[in-house]
Amino acid sequence: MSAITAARARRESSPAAATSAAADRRAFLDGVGAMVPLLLGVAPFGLVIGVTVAELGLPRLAGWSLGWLVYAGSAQLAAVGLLAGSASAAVVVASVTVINLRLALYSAAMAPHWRGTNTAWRLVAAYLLVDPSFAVGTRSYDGSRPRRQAHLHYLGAALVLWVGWLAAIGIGVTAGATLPPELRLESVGPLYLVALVVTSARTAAARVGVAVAVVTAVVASLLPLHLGPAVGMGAGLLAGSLVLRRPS
Amino acid sequence: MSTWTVVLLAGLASFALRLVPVLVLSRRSLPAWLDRVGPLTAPVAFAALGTSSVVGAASGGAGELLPLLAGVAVAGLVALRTRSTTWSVVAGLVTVWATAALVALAG
Repeated sequence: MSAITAARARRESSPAAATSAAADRRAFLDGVGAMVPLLLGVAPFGLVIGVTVAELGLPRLAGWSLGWLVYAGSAQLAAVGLLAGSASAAVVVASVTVINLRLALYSAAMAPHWRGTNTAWRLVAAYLLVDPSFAVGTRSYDGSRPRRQAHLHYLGAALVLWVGWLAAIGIGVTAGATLPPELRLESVGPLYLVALVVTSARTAAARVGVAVAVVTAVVASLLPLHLGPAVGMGAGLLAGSLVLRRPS
Repeated sequence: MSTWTVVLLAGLASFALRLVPVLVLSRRSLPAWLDRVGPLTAPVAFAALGTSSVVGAASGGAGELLPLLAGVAVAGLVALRTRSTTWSVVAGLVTVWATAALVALAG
């Protein structure tokens, strides 16, 4: 879509078209740049998943392919462990589904931004949706850029994450390489999330929702199947929406 | 069932979770409750996710938990002051390293 429009812009070579092509390129690269710190944060996790696939003796190509098929780290790690323990297909698929329930919430939150786009875009954009791309995606569509450039910003971020994630798992599977734990790069994810919470919780309803989500997620961390995040999100959204319903 | 069949089914389920809400909500108008709750999704989701990773670090003992808690506190303060995610992460990570070094010295 963007390549065709960019080519047309070059052919017309009017200053306005050239500016728009440059702005498109800049939006895409800004998205890539916004993802780089998050990618550094999840890369150690991808390496660990790859090493686990090799260590547990799963077929390597199938274990790596969880990366592009399931494409969500915690669900992948659970699936690898269950497959290695010869769990039944139903248990593996049910566990992956429960752990990934939050993706449906991200999908619902992104739906308004992707209305009126063609099916191909929605297939690609939805396929690439996972925690880090949703995190950057909320900034892509924060209203600071035209719709088309917001799409390109999201696409740049989501694509670089996809490539980096599959590369990290591949390196883990084949080379058994991990990053030194002293770097503590796995902290980058939570640190980034805190910054996003602080900058995005602008209303009273959002702040109540955040507080309830934090407390619930701590308690719900005792639940199996990584249900903590999904339960925390559900409780936080419920609390926030109750605040919104209260007549002010 | 072969490993590949299970991997494919798990992939299909994950794709459906991502895709179905986008397809359903783009065909009809948004239900009023979702329209209201929509802006809450991002902060609430990030709070629940971040909390879960901090709680997860607690299983690694004080040597894992304390640096992350200190880093999260500093990142939150920096975000409040600067509104910059980059500076928050940088300041938070430096705090994590410094606290980890202190914990190692003390232990």
